Amino acid sequence: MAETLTLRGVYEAHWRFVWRSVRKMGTPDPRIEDVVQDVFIVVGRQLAAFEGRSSVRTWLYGIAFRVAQEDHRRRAKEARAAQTPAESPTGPEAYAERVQAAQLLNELLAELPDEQRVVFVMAELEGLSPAEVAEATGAGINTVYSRLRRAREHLERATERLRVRSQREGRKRMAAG
Amino acid sequence: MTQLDELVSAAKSLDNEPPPPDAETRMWAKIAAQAGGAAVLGMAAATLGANTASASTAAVSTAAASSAAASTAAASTVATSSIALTVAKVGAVLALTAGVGVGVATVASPTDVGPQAQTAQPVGVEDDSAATPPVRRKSRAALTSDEDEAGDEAEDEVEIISIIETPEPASPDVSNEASGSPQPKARPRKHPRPQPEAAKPSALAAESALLGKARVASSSGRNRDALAALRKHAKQHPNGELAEVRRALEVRVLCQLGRTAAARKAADRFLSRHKASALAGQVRSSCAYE
Repeated sequence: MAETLTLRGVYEAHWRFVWRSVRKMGTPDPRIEDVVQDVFIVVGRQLAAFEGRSSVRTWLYGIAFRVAQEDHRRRAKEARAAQTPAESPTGPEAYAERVQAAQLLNELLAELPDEQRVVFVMAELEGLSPAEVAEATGAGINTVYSRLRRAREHLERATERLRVRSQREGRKRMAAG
Repeated sequence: MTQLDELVSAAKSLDNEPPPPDAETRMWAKIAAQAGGAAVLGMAAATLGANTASASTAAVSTAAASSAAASTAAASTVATSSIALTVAKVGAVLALTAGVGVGVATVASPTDVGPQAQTAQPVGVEDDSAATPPVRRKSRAALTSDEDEAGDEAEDEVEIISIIETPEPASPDVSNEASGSPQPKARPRKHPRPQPEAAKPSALAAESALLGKARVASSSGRNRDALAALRKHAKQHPNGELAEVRRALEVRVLCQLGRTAAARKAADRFLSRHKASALAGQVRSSCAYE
């Protein structure tokens, strides 16, 4: 059955999802509201063009991802310009570490092709079953499995690369110290 | 567990932290303001069917209902259809007069229903007058005579709005974005860690309710009642989140009352403050400039 989407309707139904997604993307708490607002500003602009070829959430996630990435890049640029460390997540240490982990994961996710990223996030972060991912994305179930496998392979390599680099830098610091 | 699994686990664990209790209302106010002030003038319920049917509890439902039609207007501002152009220009008028939403996107059934809206929470009131001193002030006694249409129109220059637009102390945790750009901007304040939700009155919901009352009264021909509601809003929320909308509505109501000179002054005031507003077209095409 056809449904008419309005910005307000989408907002009411999905703002918490967008909020959670933006935070899981590693956005520091002080920036989350601004990023979520910007997501829905974009949603408002693109609503008329949304054709329903994917689920509303998939569409929203894509927008949220791009807005959060842009925010992250902008903050990093501002921090470089000011020669100050990038804004760190606030809160108790354990919470801050989780936000930083989410931020790192988000940076790695950005390396993935869109279709792999969406599948990985839905399956691994949102906990959807492959069948649900297939339904949400409009892809076949085998395609979902395939994209998920490739996404994991890429991300495993990326985390290993980071680990090696981190160890190397640690050794350099120790040698210099 | 691989390092990737650890990252995923850490990210997923963030879901256990709820958003701040007033986040929904506060964010929507900003979104509506950025998408166009028309977004708070609408009447129709959002048309996402079951997704929104049970979405709002008392206070928020007021804001939701009053926001819905124009949220389509906001969405339409960048659409390519003729509806979009019309709505972009006269979104508020549509919302006020017809009381219906204008759908702009039709899709096959949305597949999911997210967590629904929560009870309204307090929101800060923005002070948009910091750089704009009050045009003129009137005593409260003068206010009470505003509705007296027997008085001459000069008296009636219905400062309903500007009379009491003295700057309000700005809420410590809000910024003025009512007419700002949609670009992300750094916000110095820090959000507290997410806190449990707690029911408190919402300034935004109260504002929305008053303007909704004015709109309904105006739509049903009770323009004096509408004016009274606007005056009340101006008194209680002189520089509230929805002050821009109130100022536009004032012009419309005055026009409907045939008080052209007062409407002209109100329109001048509106345009001097909100030249780039999404509602400016509505004001310019009102009786004030005929």
